[in-house]
Amino acid sequence: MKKPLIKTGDIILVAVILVTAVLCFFSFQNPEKAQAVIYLNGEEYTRINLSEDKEIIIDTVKILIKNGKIQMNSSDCPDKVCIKTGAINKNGQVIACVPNKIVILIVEGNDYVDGVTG
Amino acid sequence: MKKWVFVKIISILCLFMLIFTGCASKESFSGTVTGMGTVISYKIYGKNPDVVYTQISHMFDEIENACSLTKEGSKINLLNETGTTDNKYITEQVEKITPLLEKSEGKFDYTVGALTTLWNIGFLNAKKPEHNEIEDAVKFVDGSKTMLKDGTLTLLKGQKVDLGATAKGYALDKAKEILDLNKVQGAVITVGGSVLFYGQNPSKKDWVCAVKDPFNTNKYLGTFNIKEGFVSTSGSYERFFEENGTKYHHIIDATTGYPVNTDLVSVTVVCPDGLMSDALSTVCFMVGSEKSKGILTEYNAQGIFVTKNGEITVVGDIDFEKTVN
Repeated sequence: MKKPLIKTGDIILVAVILVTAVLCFFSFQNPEKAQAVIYLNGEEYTRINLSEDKEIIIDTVKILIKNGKIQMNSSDCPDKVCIKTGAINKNGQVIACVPNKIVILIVEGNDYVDGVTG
Repeated sequence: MKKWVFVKIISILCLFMLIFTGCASKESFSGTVTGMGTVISYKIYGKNPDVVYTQISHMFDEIENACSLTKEGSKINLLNETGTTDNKYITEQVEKITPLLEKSEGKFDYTVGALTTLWNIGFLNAKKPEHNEIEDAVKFVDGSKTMLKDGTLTLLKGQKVDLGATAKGYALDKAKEILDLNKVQGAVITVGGSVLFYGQNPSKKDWVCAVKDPFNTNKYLGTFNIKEGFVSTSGSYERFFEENGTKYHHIIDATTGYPVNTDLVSVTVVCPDGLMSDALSTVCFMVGSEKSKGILTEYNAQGIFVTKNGEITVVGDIDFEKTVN
């Protein structure tokens, strides 16, 4: 019998390497830097780091920050699209609750300023 | 068959590269604590940043124990009681800032302690000291009458040293020495309003420094890029009280005994030396932007001056960009 060109062991090895590489890449996304901006009626309401678990209540909307991600937890809007969006944490991702005029946008955190004097 | 072995070897190499680049560049240690009577924040990048931070934290404690007027039994309180000290954290600062006495036309004087103690009571009780009290205290303010010889500082009776205008910048100089010793990749350390930008930003770009808006400290006035150096700010908005419609701020003119009379509300100084960035921010606040030009050049420093009506003057090469709010 001819020796198979690619052994099963080889496939497993390459798979493991690729999976590890991908995991490493994603785990090194520095979660410390992720920041969310919450807009209310088109104006910046607050800016918050995703590094600390927190609950923010704006009128009838509850926003939850947990494990480095942010999500709409509860809302009185009719469709609950905002809640269905789920939890976000990547730069540029958005959750919007149109009836309540709330938008959550992920921005790359304290990147733009390294130190503050004054 | 050979091609496949080649692919396996390359994959393993890629994996190692990924792991090691991750470890090297992303190892950082950051946080915010209170110390030296203010807020200290730090971001240290490189090997064992937590060990480096511990060393710096200890140094800050030592400097606080030496130079803090509010700490009981501090070396500076002992100096002000007994009239003499050989504590190097105090004498080193005094030696370096002595030339500024003349350059500031006598306004910036480290023996201003007799006056600041008097005004501090005002800041606690929002009451201006009596004119005769101020006149009496001014008599004891004269840095030219002290003696610094062989590492020992001796004051005249009644004189008091106050290093509030310089200790934070000095602490950052000491922090820089520790960063140098540990061959740290990069770091940003803030003590109160003074900041040290050190080494290389992991993003490979210059560091970005923001200046607080003196009219609304929750906002930024603007930002500028900096490769390495120290930044300090002095402002009349930091500490003041109002009495009978007059605002009294905490930057006392040693020649008059009163808060320095000026149109300025904030001065930021960028300098390769920490102690100097701190001292010069006060000196420049006292003498104004015109007279500051020569002093800043002499110390290879630059400045950002903001007046009561929001006028911004930049002295030297700073790419200051005003923030649009």
